[in-house]
Parts: sequence; structure tokens; C-alpha cells
Amino acid sequence: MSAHYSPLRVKLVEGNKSLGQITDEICRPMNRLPSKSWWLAFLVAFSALMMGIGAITYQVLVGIGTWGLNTSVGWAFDITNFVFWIGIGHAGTLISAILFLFRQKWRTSINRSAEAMTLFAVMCAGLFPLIHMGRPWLAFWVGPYPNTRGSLWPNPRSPLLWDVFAISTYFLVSAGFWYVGLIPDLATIRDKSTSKIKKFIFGVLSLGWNGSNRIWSRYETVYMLLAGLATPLVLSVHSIVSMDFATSVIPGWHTTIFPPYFVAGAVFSGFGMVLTLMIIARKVLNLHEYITTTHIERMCKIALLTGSMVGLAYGTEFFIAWYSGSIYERFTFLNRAFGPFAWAYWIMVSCNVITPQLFWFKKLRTNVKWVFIISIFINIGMWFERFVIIVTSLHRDYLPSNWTGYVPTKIEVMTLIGVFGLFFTLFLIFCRVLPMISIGEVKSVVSYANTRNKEH
Amino acid sequence: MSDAHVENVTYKTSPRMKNAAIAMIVIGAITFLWQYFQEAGELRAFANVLVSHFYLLTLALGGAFWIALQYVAGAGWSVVVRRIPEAMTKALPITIVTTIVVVLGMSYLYSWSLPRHPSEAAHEEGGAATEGGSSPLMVSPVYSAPAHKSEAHEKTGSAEGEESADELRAADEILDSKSWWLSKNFFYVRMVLYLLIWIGLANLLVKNSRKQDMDKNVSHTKANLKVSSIFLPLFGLSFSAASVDFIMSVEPHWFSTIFGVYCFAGLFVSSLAMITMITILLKRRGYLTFVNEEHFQDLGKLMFGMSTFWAYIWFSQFMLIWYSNMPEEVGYYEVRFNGEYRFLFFLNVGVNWVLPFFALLPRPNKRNMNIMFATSAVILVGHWLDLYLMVFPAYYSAPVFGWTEIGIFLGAIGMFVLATFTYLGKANLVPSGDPYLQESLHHHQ
Repeated sequence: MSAHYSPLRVKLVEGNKSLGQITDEICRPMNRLPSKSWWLAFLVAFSALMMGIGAITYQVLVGIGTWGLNTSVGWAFDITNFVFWIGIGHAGTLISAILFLFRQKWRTSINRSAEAMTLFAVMCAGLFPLIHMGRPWLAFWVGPYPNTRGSLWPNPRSPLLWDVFAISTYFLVSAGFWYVGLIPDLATIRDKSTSKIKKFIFGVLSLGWNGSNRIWSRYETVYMLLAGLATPLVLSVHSIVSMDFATSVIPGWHTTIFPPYFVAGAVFSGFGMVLTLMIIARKVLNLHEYITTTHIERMCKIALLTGSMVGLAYGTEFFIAWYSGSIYERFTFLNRAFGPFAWAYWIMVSCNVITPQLFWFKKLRTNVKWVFIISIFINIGMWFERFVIIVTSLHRDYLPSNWTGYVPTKIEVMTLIGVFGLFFTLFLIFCRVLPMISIGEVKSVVSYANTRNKEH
Repeated sequence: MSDAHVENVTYKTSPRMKNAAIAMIVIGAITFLWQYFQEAGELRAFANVLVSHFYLLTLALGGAFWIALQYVAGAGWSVVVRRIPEAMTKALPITIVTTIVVVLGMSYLYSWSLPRHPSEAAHEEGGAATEGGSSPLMVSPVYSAPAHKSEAHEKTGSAEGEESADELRAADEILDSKSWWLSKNFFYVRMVLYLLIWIGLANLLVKNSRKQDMDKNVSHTKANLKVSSIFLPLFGLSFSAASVDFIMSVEPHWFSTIFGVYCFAGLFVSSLAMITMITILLKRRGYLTFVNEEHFQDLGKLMFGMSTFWAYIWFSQFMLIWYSNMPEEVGYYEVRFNGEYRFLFFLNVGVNWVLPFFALLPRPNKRNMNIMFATSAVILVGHWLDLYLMVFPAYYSAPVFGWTEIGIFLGAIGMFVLATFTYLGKANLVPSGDPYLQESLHHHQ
């Protein structure tokens, strides 16, 4: 490592920690019984999950007629949630892959849990198309394999099929990337654990890691290759999700900016969720010295950047809808902003475009309470973005006699809450059973910008 | 490790290079005039100026974007090459001249700037126009075929041509409905605004950076961080709008929301290629000894990434329009993809993405100056082709290419070289006061 740090660089880990101290502090939550606050959170999340399971079972038994859809609004809550959760996942891959390639060393404190969040979010997202199939036990029909169903072969021209491949690839690569990153830490836990069972489990999981020079060097090569392979996935997944809409001919859906605009929005929403989770985690698990205000500030800057990109995309869409001269395009956008769903539109604009502008102020970026509040607004705003795009483009189509509204049913709302329950349940379990912060990687940056006093 | 010291060196402008640049400018000017005075040759002259104008603009503005990006990201490694994008911004004032030429050629380049209504036409053209717009087919001209347009343009001399062109324009409800934006006066206002923002902020960035050479004060870095944070959002807005104004409006009925992003992708990758190329040129002449293969590898990685980003945006626009096949939009690709431009259409992807992709994928290639130079050159030619394909199919149903295209483009390059190397001859080649300089000098992967 180069020992030449500019005087403008700041430390990444606070508190002048020794390497052993880092291992102990990060592993501590795994070695003690869960705290009361953990149990409380788990109870709430698990109850929500149970409610969701009930709601999903009911939908599968009765059918998706339990949703609030009608002939004009044929897609609404379910697909909104799907896109929302897929988007949440993007921050993890961006942090773990793209920031790695850009040598952003501050990523080391947050990449592990952001990647775990990605996996859980993609799992949540995957539920919605499954439910929407109506007969989830036939989900394997989306796979292209020789079958006896005659012409029932998945249509390769359909973006929905592209989704199947894009998302399963994304999940597999993210899971592989996450696991590879975990291996050295799993070995650390194996070596430190005293109980036989724990030693055995972590021994198997760490794949015989022995910490030799050769192993580390191979590991670093694999990690770099996976980062390179995961980088296009950050862009491809949400691009293809956007094509579910953009390949159509519906005004408000068919617009060429959708792929990059959805990707920016996904990263934005993902950072909203990472901020929410990290701020809670660092407080509850006492990780202030690892996830410092510097980390939070930098995540805020990315949220500001991507939020502004999303704002520019909203503006471009609106402008081009007018510029196109097409009365249908113009109507769709005016209807969005001033029609019956104007409230949803303005929630979207104020949460996604206006709120992140507060991150221009360093005072707010470094004030954890404010950042937490803003991050919640981002989560809300990005859910509404998908709702606005999907529902407002459908509910008033070319024939005014077809104009309808849309109200979600209780079952749909319960499903959404249930999926949040699933997400938080998984995340809370993750905090207990695996090191939340990459021990090996944090150790590699502990000297970052810490030696400059010796230099001069 | 001890701090490395870099001596203050400026580039010695060679009179040969200067003369060559001036010769190129003269060739460009002569070609333009020669083409302009050909029979019905004005359109081709102005279309070439438009392509060259946007080409220069993307390179020069790309330099400013690069500097701002490095400040905002707190990048250390790139400090040693920063003087080059700084020099590139010195080509921005040239775009004032090229903008003026584009404005002079407005009536040829932008059909929306022509009078559309018989009364207007009578007012402006001395009553030569006829009644038009009676055909029901003409009520909503969603997309007027370029073949027709170019005919109309080419026949400007004959009365027949004027009539048919006037008829087309007379019934143009779509253009009428957006005449607020696509009007001459507002267009001029926007041009002035764009140039003020770009030149003003780029000069500020360069000025602070130069001052730092003298006093080695960190405060200039902090000041430039602020300027960059102001520049980037303004750049996003103004460049998106400018790409609609300059390029998209040559086919005023066509629209695509991704267009600004597409132009931005071209700007990023081409300016990066230009930075790399100038760095190598200087290095070959014995300057910038401290720039090594580590820096080239990073430039190469970024070029690889941005070329792929360009391909991603290119594909998004093409695929979505092709797939949806809507009459409002698809005509744009009808000419380019199904028409006479088909070969160039695929060549464009080849030179802007396929070739750079494979050339820059292996690590040793990115660390090899010759390969980096050749790839940058391919991308820079590709960028011209990309712009050519955005502009020319609007006027000609089949590609035109000849000495006119080469000559006018040479003129643009001459101006760029003159502006850039004049600056490099005045400024210290390395920002010696930058607080990140040591990181950059000791940079390794």
C-alpha cells in the first residue's frame, strides 16, 4: 500500500484499534445472547412476516381476484412492490462491486451488510411474481426446457422472461460474491470459537481456509473478478425491469430514458435503505467507530447524486412529453401531476427530488438523526415512484369510459407489510449469526490515512 | 518513502505544430466556403459545421466535466494529468464561433426555424408562399421522411421545392405546439446562457488550479470543490438541453428522453480518449515523465467502462424504439437501420464499443501506450461518426462523404489543437501545489 496520503484524507476507523480488538468487537454480537431491543425488533418483524404468510396463503387459495385490480389498472400493487424491492438491492452490489473497482476504501465497513440486504431484498422481490402467477407451484414453467406442453414455451421476446434471467443471475452472482467475501471471516470465527458445534459449522463453511499467502492472493483475484462481473449486473437488472414497462406502447411507460433512470432510482432507493439499516445497526450494536459519520456522510452524497439524477429524469420525461407534441403523452404527465393521483405524484417528487437536496448541507449530512429521517422519506418516495409510474399510466387510458381508479385491498397491504417483515426478520437473524462488518477488509484499511503523522 | 518532487516544466510549443494547426484551420475555412458556394451546397457546409461544433463542444466541455468530477470524488490518482483536461477547456471559447456559424445556417439546419404559416411566410419571404395544409394526411405529420425533406432542401432554388416544403410546414401542428421552445429568439437566449455557464465555470476551475501552483494553498482545492459542485448539476441540465437544441431538433418531430444521456456518454468517453491521447503525445516528447503505466491503466479502465456505458445507452435507445415500433419515433431508425446508413449504423457500434472493448479488456493493453493511443484514436473517430449519424440522416437519405467532411473536420481539430497546446505552453505541466499530488505520483494499482 502506498503510504502517501494527502493531508485531506480522513481516517476510516476511529479509536486507534488493534487488529485483535477489531475481531473481538465485530464478533461480539455473535457471542452473547441477543439484547432486549433485538428481541423486540425481531418480534415485530416476525409477527409481520406471519401476517404476510397468512395473506399470501389466502391469495393462493382464493386467487388474485382478492386484489384491487380492474380492467384498466391490470398491474398495480404487486408489481410496484416487486420493482421497489429489486431496487433496494442495488446499493449492496454498487457498494461491493463498483465502489471496489473505484478503490473506495470506506466501503469496507458497510459492504457486508449492504450485500446481505441485497440478497434479502431480491428474495422479497421474487415473491411477488410468484404470487402473481396464481399457481406458484407451476413457477418452473418459466424455465426454457423441453416439455410436453406443446407451444407453451416461454416467449423470449417478452421482457418478463428477460426478468427471470436477469434477476436469477443477479441473485446468484450477488450470493456468490457475498459468500466469497465471507470466507476469511468465517475462518476467523472458526479459529476463535470454543464450542465444537460452532467450530464444525464454521469449519465447513470456511472451505478449509488457512490464511496462507497463496490463499489470500487467489482470494483477492477471485474477489476482483467477481467485482468486475457484478458491475454490469448493477446496471442490467434494473434496466431489464424498466423494460417491462418501456417496451410497451403505453404513454408514461414507453420512454427511452427508463433504463438509466431506473438504475439511478434503484441505487438511490438502495442507499435510502442502507442508511436506514446502518444507522439502526450502529446504534444497537455499538459500531460507531466502524460506521463513522464519514461513512454516513459519503452515503448521503451518493443519495444526493442519484436523487438529483432521478430529478433530472423526471424533468426530462415531463419536458419531452410536452416536446413530443403528442396529446396522449402530454395528458399522461399532466394527469400524473394534477389528476386524481396527484397526491402520490407530489409525495414522489418531494421525497425523491426535494428531500435529498438537504444533503447539500454538511450539517445535515453529519447529523445522524436528520439523515435517518431523510432516509425514511427516501424509502417512502421510491415506493411511490413505482406506484405513480405504474398506476397513473394505466388508470386513464385512451377511452374515457374506461377511466377508473385503484385502491389496494387489505390483502395487498397485508402482503406488503408481511414482506417487510420477511426482510427485517432475515436481516435481524443475519446480524446475529454472521459478522456484520467484513473483519478482514476493515483490518486492511485501519492504517489508512493514519500514518501521515509519521510521514511529515 | 520520501516525497517525490516534480520540477516546474511547461510545454515548449513547437512552431511546426502551430503551423500545422493553423494550416488545418485554413483548410477547414476554405473547405467550408468552397462547399457553401457550390450549387445548393449550403446545407452540407452547415451540417458539417454542426457536427464539428458539437464535436469540439463535447471535448472541451468533457474536459471541464472531468476536472469537476475528480474534485467532487476527491480523486488523488488523476492529479498528474489534470493540466490536460484544463487545456481542453480552452477550446470552449472556440465554440462561440462555431455556435455563431450554426446560427447563421439555422434556416438550413433547423426546419423548425422556417416560417410555417402562409401569413408569416408572406411576411418574411415577400409573399412567395402558397396556401397549404389542405391535405388530411398532413394534419398530423408525426414524422416526415428524410428523403422528402432533403428533396425539399436540395431544390431550394426551384419554385416547386419551396411550395412542397411550405405545404409541409404549413400544417405542422406539432411544431406549432412547441414553438415556445423551438423559436429563434429563445434559442439564442439559451445559447448565450449555456456558453456563459460553461465558459465561466470552466475558467474559474482552471484559474484556481493555476493559482495553487504559486501558493501551494489547500484552500484552492476547497474552492474548486465548491465550484465543481455547482458546475455538475448545471452541466447536467444545460448539456441535456443543449443536446436537444443542437442535435435532436434537426429532426424536430422526433423525440427521445434518453437523448441527453446518450450525448453525455459520448462526451465522457471521447474526452477521456482525448485526455489519454494528449498525455501520450506529451510523454513521447519527453514531458510528463512521472505519468506511468499505472495511470494509463486507470485511464484505460475508465475508457473501457465508459465505452460500454455508451453502448448500453445506445442499445437502450435503439432497442426500445425498435421494439415498440411507434410511428412517432421509429422513423429515426428507419433511415439509419433499414436505409442506406445501415453499414455506418453497425460500424458506429463497432468503433465505439466492440473494438475498444476487446482492445482494453486485457490488463497489459491498458498499460501499453501504443495500444492506448490507437484505441483513443479509434474512439475519437468513432465519436465523429456517431455525431454524423445523428445529424446527416436528417438531411440526406443516403450518406454523403467526401473532402468537405474531411476538410471541415480538420479545421475543427486545428482549432482544438491550437487552443489546447497554447495553454499547455503557458502553464506548468503538473499542478505542483495540489494536496493530492503525492498520492498521484506514487499511485499504483
